[in-house]
Amino acid sequence: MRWSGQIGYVVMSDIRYAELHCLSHFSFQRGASSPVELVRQAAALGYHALALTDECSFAGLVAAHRAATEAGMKILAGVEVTLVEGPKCVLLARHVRGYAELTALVTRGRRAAKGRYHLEISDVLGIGDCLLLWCASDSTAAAVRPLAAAFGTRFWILGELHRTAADGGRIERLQAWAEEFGRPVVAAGDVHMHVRGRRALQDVMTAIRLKMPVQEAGYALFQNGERHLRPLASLKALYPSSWLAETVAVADLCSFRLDQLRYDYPQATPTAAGSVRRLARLAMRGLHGRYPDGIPADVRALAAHELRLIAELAYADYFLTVHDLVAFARSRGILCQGRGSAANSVVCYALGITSVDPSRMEVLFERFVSRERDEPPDIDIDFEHERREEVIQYLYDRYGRTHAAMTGSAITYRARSAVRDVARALGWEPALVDRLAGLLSWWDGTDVLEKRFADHRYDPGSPMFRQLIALVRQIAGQPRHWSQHTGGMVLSREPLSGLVPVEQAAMPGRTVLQWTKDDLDTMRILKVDCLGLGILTVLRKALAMLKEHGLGPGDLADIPAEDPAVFRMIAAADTIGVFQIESRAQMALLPRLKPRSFYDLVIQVAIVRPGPIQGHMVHPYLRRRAGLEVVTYPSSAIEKVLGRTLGVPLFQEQVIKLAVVAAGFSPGEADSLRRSMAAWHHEGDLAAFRERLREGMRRQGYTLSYADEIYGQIKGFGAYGFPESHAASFALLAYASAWLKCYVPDVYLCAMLNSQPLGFYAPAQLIADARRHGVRVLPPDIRHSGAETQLVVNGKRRAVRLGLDRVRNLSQTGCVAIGRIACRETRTADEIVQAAALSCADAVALARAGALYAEASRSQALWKGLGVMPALPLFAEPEEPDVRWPSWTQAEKVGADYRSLGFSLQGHPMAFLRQRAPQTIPIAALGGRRSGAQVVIGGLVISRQRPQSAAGLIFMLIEDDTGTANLIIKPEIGERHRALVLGAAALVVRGRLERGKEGVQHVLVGALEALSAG
Amino acid sequence: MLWLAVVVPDLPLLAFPDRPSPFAVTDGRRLVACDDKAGACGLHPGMPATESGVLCPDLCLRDRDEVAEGRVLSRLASILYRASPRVGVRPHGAVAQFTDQVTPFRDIRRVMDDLRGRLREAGIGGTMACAPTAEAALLCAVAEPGCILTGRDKWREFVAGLPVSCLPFPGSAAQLDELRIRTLGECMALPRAGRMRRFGAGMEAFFGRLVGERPEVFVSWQPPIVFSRRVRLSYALDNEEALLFALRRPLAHLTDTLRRHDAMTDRLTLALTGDGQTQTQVFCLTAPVRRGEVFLPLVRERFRDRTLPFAVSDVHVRCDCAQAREGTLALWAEGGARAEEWGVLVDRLQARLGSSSVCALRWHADHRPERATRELPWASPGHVSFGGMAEANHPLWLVDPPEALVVAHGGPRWQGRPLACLEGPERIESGWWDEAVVREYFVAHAGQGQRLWIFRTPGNEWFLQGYFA
Repeated sequence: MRWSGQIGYVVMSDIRYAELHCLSHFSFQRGASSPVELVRQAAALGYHALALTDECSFAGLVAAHRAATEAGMKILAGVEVTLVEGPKCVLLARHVRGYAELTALVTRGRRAAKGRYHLEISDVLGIGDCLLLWCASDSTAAAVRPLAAAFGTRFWILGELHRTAADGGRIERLQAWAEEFGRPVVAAGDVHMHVRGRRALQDVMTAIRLKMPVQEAGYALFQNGERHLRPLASLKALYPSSWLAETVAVADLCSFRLDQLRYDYPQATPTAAGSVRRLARLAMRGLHGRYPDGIPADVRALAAHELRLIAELAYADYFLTVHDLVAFARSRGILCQGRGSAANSVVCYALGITSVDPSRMEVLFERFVSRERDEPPDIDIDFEHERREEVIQYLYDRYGRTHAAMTGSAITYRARSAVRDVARALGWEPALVDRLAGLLSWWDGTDVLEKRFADHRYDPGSPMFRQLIALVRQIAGQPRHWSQHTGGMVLSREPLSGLVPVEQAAMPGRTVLQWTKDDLDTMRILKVDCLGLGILTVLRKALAMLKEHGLGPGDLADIPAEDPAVFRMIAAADTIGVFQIESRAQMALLPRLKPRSFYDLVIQVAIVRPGPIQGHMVHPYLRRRAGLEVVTYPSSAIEKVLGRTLGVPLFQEQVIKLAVVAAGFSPGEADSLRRSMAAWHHEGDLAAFRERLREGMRRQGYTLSYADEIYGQIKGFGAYGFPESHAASFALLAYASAWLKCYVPDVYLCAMLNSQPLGFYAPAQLIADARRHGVRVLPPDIRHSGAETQLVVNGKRRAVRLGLDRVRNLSQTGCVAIGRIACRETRTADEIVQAAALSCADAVALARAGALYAEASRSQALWKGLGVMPALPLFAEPEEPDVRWPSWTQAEKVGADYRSLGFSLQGHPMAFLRQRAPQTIPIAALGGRRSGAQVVIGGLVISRQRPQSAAGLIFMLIEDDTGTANLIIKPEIGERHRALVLGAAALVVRGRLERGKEGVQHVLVGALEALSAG
Repeated sequence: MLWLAVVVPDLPLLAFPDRPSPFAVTDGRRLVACDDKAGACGLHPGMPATESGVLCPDLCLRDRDEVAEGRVLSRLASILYRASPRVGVRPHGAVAQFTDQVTPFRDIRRVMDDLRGRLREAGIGGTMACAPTAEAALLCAVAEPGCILTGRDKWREFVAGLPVSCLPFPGSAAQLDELRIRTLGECMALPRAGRMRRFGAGMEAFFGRLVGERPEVFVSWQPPIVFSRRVRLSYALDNEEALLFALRRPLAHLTDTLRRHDAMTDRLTLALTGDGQTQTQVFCLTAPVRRGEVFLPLVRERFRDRTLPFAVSDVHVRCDCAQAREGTLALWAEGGARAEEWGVLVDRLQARLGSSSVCALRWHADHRPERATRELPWASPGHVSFGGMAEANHPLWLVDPPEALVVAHGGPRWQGRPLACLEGPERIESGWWDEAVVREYFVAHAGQGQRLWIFRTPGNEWFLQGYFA
């Protein structure tokens, strides 16, 4: 609603006003607008300055600073805090020193617990370079006296008027306090939103915060929408002019700007030149180690070029830090590997950070570091996922808890969480709220709301739904709470708390910054990403086993490269369990692409992605590889760039090189162009680039039509192209895991099972695949199994003994207690149960899995398990009379195995169920049927998916004793058999077999029946 | 000894007599019962409630109403009470004990048919069975409805053949099934010490009661106390004094009944019949009492200054009495007299004006003035809090709906007089979730010392909201 009394956004030049008390949405569930919206609105209204004062947080400051620089607005840095003794006040930083004091204060306050803060008057008294504005109230007037005394002329009284009935009396009261304290009153708005129209959202946020519906929130909601950035004319009508003038006086006292902050990376050596020399020395030593037969000349030249650039941009300390981290990991035997664009660097290869050999591949340093890139380098390192904690702890220990912290990130509202919280805040029935939230998946956006509700027979046009949808759209994307980023760590020479406040993270001992990744990039703060990769754990465990039993190479580097047997196995799509090439889509493409060398594997890793598939790169490449298409290049320069991928641009580095080679760009310019295209904005820049490209190519002698073709390819490709270096790093790991699977599948199976969860397949499928390859697998047994899966070597024969960790519902303590008992093979199960003091629940879990009394009937084992009680010290266990127990059929045993282990070594349930469904054919027989044939198959349901991009289609995976099959169920059929689709454990399916061009086959379901396993 | 058991499996559904279909009842997390149409969609008891909406979109889902279920069980027990004085209520039904020599009816089959008819009329349904022990009768009512086992039959063998799934211990029943123990007989054949160790003493006691080794011990169900007296008059009444005179004796009897059963009552129903017409009057009290004479002043109040509508020849007094929980006399005589007088006053007002006419006014936390107070039916007034509005200058006397004011000569006028705004504006913008209020309030002076509370809307219309005292 527009008030007729308000004048619009006409700037009144005789009023000058600075807003000194303003909250953004980083005061979680209090502020309803983003810092950018607030800054832009303040600029539009003609404010003299805006102070962003979130509650004990600086999370929004960088974003506000960016927006303010664009809009030409002055920003003050401050915080609002409510002290334990009662007073609520706003603290503003005057200079850098004041800002550091505030960040230290916030850090200290947030030490209390995650999400809360605890500050006392004594914490604030010592602050010397800040201004204190007191939110005046009767109850805190006494408590604030010591603060007023300590701050002296840096103390003001906040006068905030919001057109309530008490305004008149309030003005008098404030003047009285002003006389009492001898300090002036300054006007402020207690701003919670940037425009009045956000009032409803702000009320909803209050309701969410108090965990009650708006109808019951009563006086906790604000009486009106005055707490927004008001036009200067309204302010003039409302406040005494001396108060308004005081705001400008206060703002002028503060001259702190965020770009005055100095961030220094931890120094490896006392001088910058020393760091460069040290880096060069280490790089040379590393290169000699990598090329014992002599460093190739081009590699040497590349290294020199990179070192020059590193020295020029002053990044030497950063590289040395990363080198130190990797050296630490290696010293502890933790496998690690750099990923992403860092693999484009020869220096990284020399230092052992990455493993992509530049002599085997093209590298492009400018993809990683360049002058034109206005950002610091970002090295991502994968570590074994189980030991990543050790690495992070090392960083904390080496640099100190005050100098190291993790990157923060804001957890924001998505459609599902927004619907749930907003509907609850609007007072809807809990059952309805659950149902509505259940209609959305976590990845859904707010654009699907109307359709999704309509599909489920709700009316999105009704007033209450319209209200819900409007509020959900407003709240989506706003932060809910703070959390840590997955692996980014920031290191600093000076204590971090002088730069940005540090909070407690949810995990104990972890501290997190109040700035996100983007904020750190804006402030040009360097960080290292320590990520966890499951396959590295697998490789390390497998190599350790090989070394222990003397069965093969003990180091990743010792695995023989380019082994033809391995590539034969890969080309046959026998890759269940192999890193990166085990998915259905990958396995469908392998027989057509037939990788024969390492570089083929690099292409395989990169090409089976949604991007190239949708961009129609896959078919041309396959056809050319098969010789069905002839490739021509307009020039040898282009051939050099695109030759290795047969003329089809697949990699980001190729795009950059094209712009360099064909149009004369510098590599750095080409990289920034690639990034801006990928970001989909700056349409104007793209047009300029197109002209430059055409001009450059014309000068080089290419036709305009070819220039347009190249431009089209670059434009269409820029968004989803894959970095070649990243694909290469992953291809190395893929090859290593394939080698292990080929030569020592039992060792590989052990390592995979002990590193779960990871990969595309469940333990059941991995075990079944290994057995098909001749691996002998022994079931878990209390007398023979360890806590983890182990390799059992008996002379020449080897077998894999599954560990007790496979048994569901067996507690960790029970598992460990059993493992500690020596010589279990010679003892009876009773003795082991006694000695380990197992609980009844653990004994029952073991009995259900057939691990307790392997020779006896399962009933007897379960009976004994149920009877386990803690041993009484004085009384002997009474002897139990023997009971005759029925023996179990094979089918019953297999069923029980599936319930307690998730798999069975004695068969597949489908083999027994087939008698009930004689019309079904084995899934393995589908390969022999032609595409389009009607088939009937049956199996256990392994997974169900209903991706929202697929227009209501349901994808299921069923498995029988011969293999697995993909099912596609259309929405109408899914509706008709709703209960079966959602709940059945085993199904008989009638449908049409369809085989796509890439060779992936599925069954389009026509009818479903349950197959009861009872 | 013969026990008759009636089991009502869809008891949670019966608690909602006018239910739509498909219908299901939940205990908050899982479904407890569902009707046939819901079952056809794939729902079953025990499944999570959130899934039920997905399988059956039209489903009407209600929370379990245990109070209503208790009422249904009471009704069932009262029907069984006709046949036997010893009736026990169970979670899903009831049992009645007969001694098979001494029974008021010769044939148990006729008893069962009779009961079946009555249960059908009452809308309860359910299945029944007879057996020498109560537990056996309950099991048979579920597993083999309609069967009659007497002490002369091989009833123990029959019970031993029942499946393990009908045990009232669902967790243990599942474990027994896993052990491949299918029938109760096999379970009872297991060594006793081992069985007790694994399944607990509760199941042991159950088996004991099942085969008759342990006695059934429970508190019999008692029907509620109802007081009902009819006074047939030889002359017709036409004024209230005569009515009061006629009521004296029945109310004295009521006092005696209450004393005898140590009960209290707070509700009296009076049915006046005459000239072929009947009029019913109900009198409620705010607190239960032990004496019937308390109702006399209320009757007087109800009929004061009114002639009776017709000549009354028949007066029926009916009263439901509940067992007293505590005494009414305080140990020390202090201040309680005031509270009593207040209660008596409210009773008389309610009697005079009708119970819905006496309301309590309460604060409600809402920024919108018309929603800031609420009228609630009279109950013991609890704590009334005024927090949050201490600073506001709002009058108590509000005009509903707000009266539109005429705007002339640039300002609002009330009763022809111009209004001068003294205080304000106070902006109130709230209630967007149901009835949005966007107004600017002013305190206006209307001459002769009168102060009004007026407001202006965004369309520049003026209204009168209230008067200051």
